[in-house]
Amino acid sequence: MNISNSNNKTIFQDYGCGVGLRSSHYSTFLSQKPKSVDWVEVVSENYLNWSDGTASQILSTLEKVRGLLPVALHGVSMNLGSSDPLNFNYLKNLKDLVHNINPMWVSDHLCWTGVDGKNAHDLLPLPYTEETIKHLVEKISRVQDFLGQRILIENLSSYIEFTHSEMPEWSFLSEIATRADCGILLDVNNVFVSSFNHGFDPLEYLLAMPAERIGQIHLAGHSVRDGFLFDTHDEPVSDDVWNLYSEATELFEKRSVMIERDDKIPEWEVLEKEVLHAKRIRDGHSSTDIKQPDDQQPNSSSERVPELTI
Amino acid sequence: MKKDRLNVYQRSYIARILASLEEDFPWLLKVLSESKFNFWMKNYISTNPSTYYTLAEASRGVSDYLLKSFPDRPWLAELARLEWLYCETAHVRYAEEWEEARFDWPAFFSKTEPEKIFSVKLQFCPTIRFFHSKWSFDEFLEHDGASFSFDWELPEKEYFAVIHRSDVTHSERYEKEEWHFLRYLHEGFTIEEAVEMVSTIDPAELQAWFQHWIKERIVVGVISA
Repeated sequence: MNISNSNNKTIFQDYGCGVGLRSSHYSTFLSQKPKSVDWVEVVSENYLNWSDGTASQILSTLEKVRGLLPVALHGVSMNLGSSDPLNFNYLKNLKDLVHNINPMWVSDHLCWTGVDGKNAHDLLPLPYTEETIKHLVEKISRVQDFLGQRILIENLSSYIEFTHSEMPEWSFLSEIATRADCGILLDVNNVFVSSFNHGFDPLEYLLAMPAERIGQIHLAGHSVRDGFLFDTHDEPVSDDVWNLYSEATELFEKRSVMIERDDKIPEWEVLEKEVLHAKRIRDGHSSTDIKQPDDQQPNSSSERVPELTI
Repeated sequence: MKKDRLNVYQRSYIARILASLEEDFPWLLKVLSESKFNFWMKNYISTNPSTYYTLAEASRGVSDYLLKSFPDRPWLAELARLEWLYCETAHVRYAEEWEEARFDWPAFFSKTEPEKIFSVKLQFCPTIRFFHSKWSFDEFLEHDGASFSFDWELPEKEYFAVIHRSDVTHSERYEKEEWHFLRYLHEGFTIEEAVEMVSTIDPAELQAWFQHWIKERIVVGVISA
């Protein structure tokens, strides 16, 4: 498929191919900095001080990794979509971490994670309305002012939609990014999962993205449930997602891309093959021309999932 | 079908925190058995929703919750408190210098006038926490919880320090006097002040304690002389 986008340059630097660094791979990274990896992303909350001020020991590991590679901070508790006010205790800790690590950038999710001071520790979907856009734009702007830098917002995988949504997710995300002057962390797996779950064309989503605002791309695996896809991050990247990423690389200029695995973390050598696969696609090879990484050749979701009937 | 999708969110809340609790309280899980642990921890999660931005801290209230829920079995709360201390000591940041370069105690003792030694405050390994209980948890831990009975209380409390070092967390038992003395020092009292706060200390015993603390790097230096 030929895709063109006249404005595909980005306001963010391209750092190449990365991976979500998890504790089981710390020693590998510190002892033999893998040449295949240009940068890493970590979950910010794992390195923040606890609520009583206790600093985390693994922060010293992150500092060592930062001495070797650029690091992106990816958060799960900014709670931007909630009706709760911003948690400035959290943001202060995050700012300290930013000061300490000097990351490529800070990102979080287009979601709400709690209300009334309670944290669900989950990424919960939002209604796509003008009211929600205004709410998020104000909060993202305040966060950016506080941190003194532009942040990136990631699209979710979702399983339900709100009946009173006024627009598709791609319009909602684009509008927020433009009005808040923030970046987009485009999770290609999430686009695919949500497109399957809600019956839209994932390419339409990609085409609607303001290319200049896309600073980073996530690639991850998902699982098949009874009639829908579930974003588990415990599987290799599927053929469908590789193909969609291949389309994204045609649509946008090179973007920092990474493999995200949060559960059933494999040996580094296994994960590295996915990083290298992403690198080959990024360098202009079509995903269909490249053999899938060994040991992990998931079938396409369309072959495995029963027809969606909701 | 739609209900299944909504259930993803409903189940994730419990499942994510429960998995974290299972990781943080492996001995409690063993003592209670999986089904009871899950039942009570689900109740804990429901009645004590997390107010923390880190998932790890969702475990903070388990001991208090168990104390309220099982007033007739206080050892459950104490076991949870001990396990939380293990989590805390494994998490807390420490300066790696004291792991590698040790404080020069011989130089300190040779250069410091004897009467001034008693006015120093000691620097402790930051990954130490103090714990006492009327149940013999060290035996429980030693046998990995196998066939241990909590049905009886010890006549006297047992005193422990939980220490994390070089990626390993362990608990160490102390005599009551030494434990109290150590705690006073840990709270920032000078040696002289700590001596005044305990009843009697045999100087030879005090010296032996110090040698042990220095050797085991429980005390890692001097804050002020």
